[in-house]
Amino acid sequence: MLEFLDTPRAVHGIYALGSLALFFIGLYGLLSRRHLLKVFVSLAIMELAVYLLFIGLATTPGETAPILADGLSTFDGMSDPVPQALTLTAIVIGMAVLALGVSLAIRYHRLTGTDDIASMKELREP
Amino acid sequence: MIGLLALLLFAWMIAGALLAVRHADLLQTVVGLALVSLGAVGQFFLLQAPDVALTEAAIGVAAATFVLLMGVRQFGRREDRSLR
Amino acid sequence: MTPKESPLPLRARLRIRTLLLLLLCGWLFLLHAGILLEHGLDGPRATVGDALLEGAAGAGSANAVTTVVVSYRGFDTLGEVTVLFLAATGVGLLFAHRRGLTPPRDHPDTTPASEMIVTGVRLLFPVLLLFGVYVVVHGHLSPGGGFQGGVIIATAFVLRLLVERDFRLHHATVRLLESLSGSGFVLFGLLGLVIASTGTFLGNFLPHPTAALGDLVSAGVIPLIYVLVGIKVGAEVGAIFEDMLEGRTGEGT
Repeated sequence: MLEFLDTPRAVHGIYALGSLALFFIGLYGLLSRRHLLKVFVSLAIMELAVYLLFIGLATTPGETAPILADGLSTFDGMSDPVPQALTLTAIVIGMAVLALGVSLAIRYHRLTGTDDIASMKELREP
Repeated sequence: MIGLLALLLFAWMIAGALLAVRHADLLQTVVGLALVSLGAVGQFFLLQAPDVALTEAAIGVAAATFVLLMGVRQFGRREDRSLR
Repeated sequence: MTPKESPLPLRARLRIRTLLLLLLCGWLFLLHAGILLEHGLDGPRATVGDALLEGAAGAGSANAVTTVVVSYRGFDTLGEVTVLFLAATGVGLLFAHRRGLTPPRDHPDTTPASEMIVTGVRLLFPVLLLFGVYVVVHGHLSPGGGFQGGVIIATAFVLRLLVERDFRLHHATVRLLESLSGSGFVLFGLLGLVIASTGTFLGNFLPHPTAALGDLVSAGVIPLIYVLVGIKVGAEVGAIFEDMLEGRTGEGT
C-alpha cells in the first residue's frame, strides 16, 4: 500500500483531490457566510488550494529542489522552478490584497458598524 | 512516504479549513487559517520547493495572521449567529 | 402563538439553503476531479522549466528559483513590487491621522506588556534582524531571497511595535528607503537596457562566471537586485503593520 502511494500517478491524484477539496471548502465558506472577515479567510483558503494544485501537478516525486548545493554543478533531475517562482509572486500579492481588504473592512466598520455583506446596500440603485 | 505524508498533511489542512469556516468565534477562524498555512508549509517542503515554503511561512503564518487579528480587534470575536 | 411557530420554517429554510450549497460544491468538486484525474495525472512532458534549467547554470546563481524570479521573469517581480507599493499606500491612506497629532497607541484600559516580554523581545530583535539580512543576502545560494528576508525583517519590527509603547517607525526613513530601493530596481533594469553587452531590460550586465558558482559574490546583478527588493518589501510590509496597529478601535474618525 505504501509503495502504491508513492507512484507518480498516485501522488498527483492525492494532490489533485486534496487541493480540490480544500478549494471547495473555501468556496462553501465564501458562499454561505456573510461576515466580512470570513469572506477574506475563505478567499485565502481558496488561494492556498490553487498554489498547492499548481506545484503539486508540476512536480513528480523523485526530483530534488532546484538548488545547487553540496558540490553539484548541473541542474539534472530537479523540479521545475517556474511554478515555484510564480507561486512565490502570488503569495506575496495575496497578502498585499488581504491587508488592503481588511483595512477597508475596518474603516467600513468604523463608519457604519455593520459586518454583514448582505446589508451593504449604499451603492445599490433604487 | 511522500504519498502518506501528503495525505496526512491534507487531512490537517482540511480540518483547519473546516475549523476556520464553520465556527462562530472569529479568533478560531484566524487560528484555523494559521493552521492551514502551517500545513501548506509542510506540503511545499514535501514538494521540494523550499523557497515557496519559506515565503508561505513568513507571510501566511505571520503577516496574514497579524492582519486578520487587527481585523478581529475591530470587529469583535462573536459572529452573529443570525448571519448564517 | 405565531412567534413561536415562525422560527421553525426559518430554520428549515436555512437548512435547505445549506444543503443546496453543499450539493453545488460537491457536484463542482466531482466535475473538476473527473477532469483532473483523467488528464492531469501523468505530469508535464516537456515544460519551459526544463529549457530554463539548462540555461540557468550559465547565469551563475546556485538557486534556480532566484534566477527565474529576478532574471528570467524579472518583469513579473517588478509588477509584484508595484502591487505591494500600491497596497502599502492604500493602507497608509486608509489609516491616516492628522499631521502633527500622533494618537496614543493603546486603548486606555489595556495593560502594558510585562517586563519579561519587553526584555525578551529586545534580546530577540537583533537576532531576528540578522537572520532576515542573512536570508536576503544569501538568496542566490540557498533557499531565501528578498521577499522572505524582507518579511522576516518586518516581523522583527512588528514584535517591537507590539510590546513597547513608545516605539514607532520613523516614517520619513521608511518612505525614503522604499522609494530609493524601488527606483534602484528600475535603474538596474534601465542600465541593463543601455549597456551593450546585454541589450535587455534587467539584463545581467555584471560579470557572472560559472566558476564562481556558490560564492557570495557571484551571479552578477542578481543578488544586488534581490537586496533592493528585500529592503523595499521589508519597508513596505513594516509600514503596513504599523499603520494597521496604530488605529484605535471603535471610533469613527
